[in-house]
Amino acid sequence: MKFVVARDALLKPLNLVAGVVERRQTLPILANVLLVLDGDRLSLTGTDLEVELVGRVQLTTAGESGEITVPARKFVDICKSLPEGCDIECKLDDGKLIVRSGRSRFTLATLAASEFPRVEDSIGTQKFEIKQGELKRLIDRTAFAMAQQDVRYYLNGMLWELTAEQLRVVATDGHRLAMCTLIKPLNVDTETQVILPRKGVLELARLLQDEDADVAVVIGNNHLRATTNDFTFTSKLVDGKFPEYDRVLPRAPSKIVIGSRLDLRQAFARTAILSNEKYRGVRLQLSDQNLQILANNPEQEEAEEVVSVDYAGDSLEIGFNVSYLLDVLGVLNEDQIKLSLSDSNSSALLEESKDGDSLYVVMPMRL
Amino acid sequence: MLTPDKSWPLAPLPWQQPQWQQLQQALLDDSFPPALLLAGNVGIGKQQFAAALTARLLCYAPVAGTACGDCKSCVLLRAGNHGDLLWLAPEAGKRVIKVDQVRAAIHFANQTPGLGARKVIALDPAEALNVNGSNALLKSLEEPSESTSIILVSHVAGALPATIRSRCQRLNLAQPAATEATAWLTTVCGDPALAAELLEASDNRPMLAAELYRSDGMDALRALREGLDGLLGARISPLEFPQLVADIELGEVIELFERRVGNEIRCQSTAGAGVGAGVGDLRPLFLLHEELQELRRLVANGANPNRQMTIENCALRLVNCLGESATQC
Repeated sequence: MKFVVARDALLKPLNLVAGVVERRQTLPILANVLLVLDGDRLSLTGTDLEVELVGRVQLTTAGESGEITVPARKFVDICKSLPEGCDIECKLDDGKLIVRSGRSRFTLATLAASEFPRVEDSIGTQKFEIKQGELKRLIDRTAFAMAQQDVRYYLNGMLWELTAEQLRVVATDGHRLAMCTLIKPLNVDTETQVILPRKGVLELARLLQDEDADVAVVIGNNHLRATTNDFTFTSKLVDGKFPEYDRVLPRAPSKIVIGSRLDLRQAFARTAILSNEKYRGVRLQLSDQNLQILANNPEQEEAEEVVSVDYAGDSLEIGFNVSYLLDVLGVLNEDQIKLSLSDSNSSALLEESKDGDSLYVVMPMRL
Repeated sequence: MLTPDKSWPLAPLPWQQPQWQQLQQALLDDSFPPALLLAGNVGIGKQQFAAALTARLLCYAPVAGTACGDCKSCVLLRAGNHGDLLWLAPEAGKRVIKVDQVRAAIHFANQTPGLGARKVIALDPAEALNVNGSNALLKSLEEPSESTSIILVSHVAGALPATIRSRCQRLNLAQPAATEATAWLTTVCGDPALAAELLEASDNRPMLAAELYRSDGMDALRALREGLDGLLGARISPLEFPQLVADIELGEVIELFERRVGNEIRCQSTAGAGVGAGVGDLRPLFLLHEELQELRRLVANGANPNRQMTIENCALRLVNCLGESATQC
């Protein structure tokens, strides 16, 4: 194997790939990055067995094809510290990778490429293509509601539900639920539900940077793979069944409140200061055209806010964890939001006032 | 401990064929147990059985019921890089499998396999789990996802918590017949006579015998037994004996004493004298045997008695108990 690559072309994909490689490794080869050269296409693969990332570089001239693995961290550090604009020559010689540039020369230890645990290519049963921006929106709008290290392991991830006309993602931690739907003909034949683990969701969101470019998604029994021009991302799935989320969506709520998102958000943020630091409870008192927000803490300090809202009907008193409300108000971006309630023991439904694509359910707190 | 550089066993040992066939049949019938407990004495090849079974479960193209050895899965397994296998054993120098290791295994069990259709978690040995570890594991053991197989290896299955045992299907692996074991060991050491001697020295436990052969422990052991004969024949005094075994570990010395007393009990109780008559005379021997067992357990659990005094004491007791009456067992 032998090739020449421009440092600046190599650095970006190499950095991305090395980001997947964890510092504390259980298996020595996981600290390595796999280099595969096929003519003038160089691909770099890093994995921690949960997520795998392949970055690609187009070389200006074809080299001698081959494959090998080298220590990721050291290879990155070497490439990074070489001067900008230089060319890097890599050559496999007697089980060592010789890296040359200008008057520098490095010899890196290698491990056999055949022993690198990469995911085989034939993984998918469902394929579709959407814009990176669309996928990123789905993730950004729901990821905050995923559980973290919950014993109900199927909640530590995000449900992707695929049908012929739409892609819906759902995340919940048992106290609140976030759901976002992309309506678009996707040309898939069967309905599919998979759970992408938390780590995979966060890594994928980090990678989607070019809003207008396409991303091709392949979903199989054991993997989800997203491919763009720059990279191929593969994640394992959660081996479990997601709860039936539509059963927690409030049915026919009787009280509809419309209010300014910004006003509400600021009022909640201020009252949150004096809520109980552990339970974060705030009391909402709803009456005609008015929403009063109250909070107090064990030190007997109190906060009170009144926000004008568009509401007419019976009054209602209900408690919420203010962090959950703030999370939702933080990701919505329309001016007006709609809050649907029925009584003080039923969940609240939050959404954008005009047909938005996202839906949030927050369970009330008993105060 | 299985290490990547050691070639990964793909087939079970000859005397494990019946159990192996039983599991093959279960695989064909799609009734392979999600949690399998391999029980049996130490040193009879349970680990090898578990390793071969793991290879078989993960292999892409098994040949005649065993792993092929050539597919991507087998190559990764041999390189020690298989992402769908989690082999849990105590960390170097430790005696327990930590609860953090178990948590990692649970996380592993909750995700889909990375390479093939199945993933395997092996616990070797299962009794190395402490209370927290075994409690943490219960949920995964009870209803692992379809693609998960959990294999527990245990030298003392009876000592495992009932909560663990009741969640596993138990498969007993038997100690091989002497002829089978000798035949196998001959393929390892190349000499039938040596094989027989090794087996005898290791209580007919082939893996222990093979270990003894590989570590060149036989010569030291021979010296030790000669020393013991000398002791009983009053050619060596009990006070000199510790000197003789200076470079052998205390646990092994005690085990040797224990085995010698055990042999003596067996010989005397079967040698002529009627059942009733012999029992009275054997009481001190049984007592000594029990004491030695207890001592060995203590040492194995990390007790650190004065070496010189312990060995002297054992030697004295042995001479007192047996003295001239020692048979040539």
